[in-house]
Amino acid sequence: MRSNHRSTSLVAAVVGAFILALIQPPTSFATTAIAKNNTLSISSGKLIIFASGFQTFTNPAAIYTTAVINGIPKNFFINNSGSFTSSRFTMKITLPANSNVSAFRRCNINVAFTGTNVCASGSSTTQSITPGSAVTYILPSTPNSFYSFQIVQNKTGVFSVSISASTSFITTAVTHS
Amino acid sequence: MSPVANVLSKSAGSMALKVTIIAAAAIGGAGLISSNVFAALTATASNTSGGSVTTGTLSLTLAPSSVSGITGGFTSAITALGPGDTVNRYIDLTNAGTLDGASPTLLISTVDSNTIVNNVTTGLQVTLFTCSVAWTNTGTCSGTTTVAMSVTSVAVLKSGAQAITLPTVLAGGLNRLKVSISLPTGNENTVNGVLPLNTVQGLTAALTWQFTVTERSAVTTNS
Repeated sequence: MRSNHRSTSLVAAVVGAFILALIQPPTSFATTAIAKNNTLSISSGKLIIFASGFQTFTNPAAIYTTAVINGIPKNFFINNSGSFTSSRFTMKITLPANSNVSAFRRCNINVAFTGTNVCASGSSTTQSITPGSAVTYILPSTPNSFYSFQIVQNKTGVFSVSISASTSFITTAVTHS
Repeated sequence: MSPVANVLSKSAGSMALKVTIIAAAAIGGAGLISSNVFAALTATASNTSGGSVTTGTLSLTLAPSSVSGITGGFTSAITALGPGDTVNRYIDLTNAGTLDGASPTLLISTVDSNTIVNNVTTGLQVTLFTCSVAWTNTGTCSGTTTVAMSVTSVAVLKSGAQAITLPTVLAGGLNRLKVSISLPTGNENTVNGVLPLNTVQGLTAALTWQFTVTERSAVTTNS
C-alpha cells in the first residue's frame, strides 16, 4: 500500500513538473554564429650549429673532441644543420696544455681544406684564436652550410671545439602568404 | 374471406396508417425544433495576401583572401618560424546572414601543449588588422587600416574567447583581416647542437581559429 502511494506521488510530481515546464514563459537565448578553420599547423625552426671532424649535417649534440699531433694540421668543420640563417657563432677551442698555435684559418663558406693551407677553391682566411676562451666569429651561415677550419699547433694531446649560437643573431623575416 | 375477417383487415390497415402519420409528424417537429435551437450566424475576415513571417539568419563565414600571393589563409602550414619572425595571413570574415551581429570574438583551440602555445611571453603572438579594401600581396592597405585586436598571445587566446573590434558586423558585412602570427625575438643559446630547456624551437602546434558573433539585440517594431 505504501509503495502504491509512493508511485502515485512520483507520477504526480512528474506530471506536475511537465505541466510547469509547458507553461513557463519562453526564455531568451543568444543566437551565435561561428566561423572556424580546420587547423593551421605552425612549426618553429631550430638553430643547430655544431663542430665535427668531417663535414656532416647530422647533429651529434655533443662537443667535438679529438686528438691532435704536434705540427700536424687539424681540420674540422662548423656545420649549420638548422632552419635559420645565423650571422655569428661563438667557438671555444681547447688545446693541450702549453700549446702554441702557429696557424688558424678557414676557407670560404661551403669550401673544405684539401691540404695544408689549401682550400678546394679560393684562398684561406686567417682567424683569431684564444685557446680556452670563447671567441665570437661573425660568419654568416645559412641552413645546410659549413665552414672548414684548419689549426696547426705544437703539442700532442686532446683538442676540443665547443660551439654556441644565439637566436639573437638569426635572420628574421616578415612574410605575407 | 369471411365478413369478420374482412372487418379485421380494414381495421388493421387504418391503424398502421395512423402510426405512420404520427411518426412522420414527430420527426418533422423535432427537426424544426433542433434547427431553431442550434443555428448560429458567423462572420470571418482574413487577408488575401502577405502575412508571411520569415526569420533571419546569423551566419559567419571564413575564407582566405583571393588576392594572388596571399591565399594561404588558415590552411597552408607555417614552417620553420623563428624567434623574431612574423607571418601574415589574410582572411575574409563575412557576416553572410540576414541578421546583424554583435560582440565578435576570437578563440583559438589546440590539442597541442608546448611552449609556443602555453607561454604568454615567449610563445606565439597574434595581432589582427583590418583594411577597408583588399590587402595587397605585400601586406599594404590602400584604404583605412584598423587594429581589430592588439597583440595577444596564443596562450591567452586559447584560455578564452577574446573580444575583437571589427569594422562591420552588419548583415552582409565583409572584414578583410590581416592575421599577424609572430614568435617574439628571443635569446636562446644552442650549445653544440643542443637546444636549451623550454625552448620555442622545434615545436609544432595545430591551431583552430574560431570567430564568433552573437545576434544583435532583439528589437520590437511597430509596423
